[in-house]
Amino acid sequence: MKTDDCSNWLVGGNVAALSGIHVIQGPGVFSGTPTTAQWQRIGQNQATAIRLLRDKDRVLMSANHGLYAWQRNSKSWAQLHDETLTEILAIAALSGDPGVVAGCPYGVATAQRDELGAARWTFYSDSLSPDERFTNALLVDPKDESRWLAGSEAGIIVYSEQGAHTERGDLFDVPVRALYYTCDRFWAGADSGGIFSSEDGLHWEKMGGDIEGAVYDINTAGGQLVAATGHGLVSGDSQGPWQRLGPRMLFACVAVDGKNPQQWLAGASPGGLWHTQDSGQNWRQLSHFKHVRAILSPEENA
Amino acid sequence: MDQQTYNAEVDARAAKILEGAHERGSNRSLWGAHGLMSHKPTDDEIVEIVRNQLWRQTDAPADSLLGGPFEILPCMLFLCRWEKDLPTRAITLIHDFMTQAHLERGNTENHWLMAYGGILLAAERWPDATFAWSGLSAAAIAAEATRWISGTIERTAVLGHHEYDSTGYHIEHMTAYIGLYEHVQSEELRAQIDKMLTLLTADMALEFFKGAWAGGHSREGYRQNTWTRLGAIQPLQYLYFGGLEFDPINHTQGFAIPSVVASYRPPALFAEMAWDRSTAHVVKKTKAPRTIYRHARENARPVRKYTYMSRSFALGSTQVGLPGNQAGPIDLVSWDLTWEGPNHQATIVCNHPYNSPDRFSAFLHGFPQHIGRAISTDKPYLQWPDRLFGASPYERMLQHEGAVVVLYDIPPTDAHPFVNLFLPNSLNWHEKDGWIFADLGDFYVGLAPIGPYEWATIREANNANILVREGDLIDGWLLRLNSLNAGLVLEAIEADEVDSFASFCTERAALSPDLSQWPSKKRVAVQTTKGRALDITFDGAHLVDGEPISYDYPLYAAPGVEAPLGTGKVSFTRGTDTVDVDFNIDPDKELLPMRVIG
Repeated sequence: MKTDDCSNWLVGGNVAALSGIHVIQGPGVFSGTPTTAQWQRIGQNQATAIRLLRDKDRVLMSANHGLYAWQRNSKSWAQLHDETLTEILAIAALSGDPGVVAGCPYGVATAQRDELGAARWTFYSDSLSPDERFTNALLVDPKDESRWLAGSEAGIIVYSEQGAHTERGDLFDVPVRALYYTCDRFWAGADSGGIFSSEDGLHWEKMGGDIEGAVYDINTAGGQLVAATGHGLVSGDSQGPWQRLGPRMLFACVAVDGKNPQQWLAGASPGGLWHTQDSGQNWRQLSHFKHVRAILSPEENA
Repeated sequence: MDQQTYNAEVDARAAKILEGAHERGSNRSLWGAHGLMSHKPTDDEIVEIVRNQLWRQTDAPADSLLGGPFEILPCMLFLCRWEKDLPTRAITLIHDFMTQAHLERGNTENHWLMAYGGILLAAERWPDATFAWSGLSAAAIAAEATRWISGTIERTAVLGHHEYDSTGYHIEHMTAYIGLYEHVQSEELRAQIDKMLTLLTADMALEFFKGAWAGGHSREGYRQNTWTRLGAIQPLQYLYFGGLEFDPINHTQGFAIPSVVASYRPPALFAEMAWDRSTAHVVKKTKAPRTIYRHARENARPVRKYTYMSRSFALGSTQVGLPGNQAGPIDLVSWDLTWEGPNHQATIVCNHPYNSPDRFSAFLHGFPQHIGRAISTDKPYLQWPDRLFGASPYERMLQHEGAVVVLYDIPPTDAHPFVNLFLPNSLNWHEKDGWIFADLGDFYVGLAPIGPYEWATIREANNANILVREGDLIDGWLLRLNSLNAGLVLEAIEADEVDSFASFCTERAALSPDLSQWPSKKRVAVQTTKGRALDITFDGAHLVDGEPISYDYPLYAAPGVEAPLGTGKVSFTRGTDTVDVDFNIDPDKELLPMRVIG
């Protein structure tokens, strides 16, 4: 496998403790390893990264003011947003070009290239209410690429036939900020109630015990589920109680090393980047960052 | 006044602004540097100005820089206006910044307009350049910017301005459009921009009251809404409408300087409209729905403004159309009474200082769980209990000419279960039967607070880290209406419409508001001294003389103005002068969706 900077851990975050209206985070995506604590920015893009996606050709960064693709062969960023897509809070891979479905406060959209090569976005959410449109998380159904699950401010919305139809899931009237797929099931993290699971994306059941605060990200580590929450991390088998781990802060994301599932990186906003090598029993703050919203584990280990 | 005479007067005022800016030294920014050019600056001086704003006094390579609307637009306007006079080093710096720095477009309408405006000019000027921050060709970048700018103009023509009537941000719209009008290559876009500038100038003129911008505002924050004349729009009010004594500080603010050196001149009749207050009249405006993107189950409705422009005062109010209990844009001012006078001494306004953890996340994408703290770290006054601006979802109002009823229905869970009423502290106030009166000479005002209140002071200062010595931001009386169901009835009347101040007080006090159904049935009725009956039910009917009010306003309604909503056709007439604007709207074309706040 050919490797490059994008093969390492990737972190979307900022070294500056900026907060407020204009810049809550910035400035881009960094590549590095937690043990050396040396992080190199990928290109010069200084956007506020919110979600990251990686494939063999590119890394996608959804950000506050746009959607960008880092082309791994040309080592350059290219914008994928247009004048209708901004504040992109969620992305999921599709086939084709530009090969991504995006979620933002204004809804869910896909794009086609125009004659000038620019991505032009079409939204599928205009008939929904504001809370239903506001999309925090997206998941493409692994069994049907035309079916997308959206974690919205109103709850689960299922888009089918490439956005032609929408349907509410019964996990509703609560904001959903995390979506995940494993063990042939969909998983969702909500602002209250904890973690839920579903076979079809429409009918959901609560999994495990209560979780304090909102759930922002879900992952798996060594057969356990691990989740980033508003008051630290939790892990468990989804049947019994969740074990709370790490410092109490708003963790927006957690990534697990596929080759070494005891090694995790978790990102907090505010709070920065935190590293554990023993499944969350001991944590070390990596001082480079103050705000982190997105992390990808190393490519060959993913 | 004919256009030629008007233009000459504007030219003279422009010269005065530029002279004032130079004397004040405010022409050392990229915005203000336009005013420096006639003073033959050295090449080094110009390069220093460019570097200071774009490089922020670093020696960093261009590709490590970060730029936004407040760098993108001024550097391109400076280049486009003065390219022949700029040293090659300055041109190279601007080129390198625009092509190599990481550029972001922000999140408000004025941000996107400034960003797309500057980007369009750069893409036109350097069609073969590589724009590293985008990765797209100059043609694709220009196409995107053109789509947004022309789409926003069409939206404004059909729905009304989104970031409407902002004393702070209107200048950024004006300067961006004026800069594009001067320099954009597309004649088609330039023609649309010309029409857009006519609307934006009309917005300024229709509610101009002796130097103040009367009525409701989408954004009038920063604790300055008790000022009579405020905001960065002041230089253009002076430039285009005249009639004001030149203010060497407020009329030389940098954002306006690119417009001051421009050749653009609005139609002369707007200056006459702005200053003609000889006959009392009502101005109605429709503005686009505000962006509230969560904590809401329905979309925002259009904004409807009603401003009574009397000879001696202006009273304006707004049907804000906001959805949901967390919809509270931070800078909104929904109503006020304005007259001529010094800052703090010529405005009456009241406000519920709405506070909720979800307030900011209704229009900002950060996590609701901590965005309140994040925002208040940067702008702590947005959470202060004495706040006199910012929308409250618990406020409703009904106005007819010089009378307004403002009601509040605040849930007990709100962190600030009261309403702040600001009164000038230089007036001699009178109290009679629950009414508070003031004699302003040319007009009288009476107001009846609803609910128990306490009379206190409010004094806030720009530099208040240790002690507030002078209330340069706010200085006046603060009446705190301590009720979840507080309210206010206010009536202003010209002095020659009643026998005397004493008789006004007597007549007004004799007509107590009917509170028999407030708050039980959420209804308040009141009769004006002119004999009109105002009847408002909170979230219910608005009646005047028993007839329901229709808020289906046109785009504009005022004497001499014809502007049916949704047509893109507007006509302004004064005497024999007429300005007709037709945006040539295709009714079958879908409008550009608005993806920014404002």
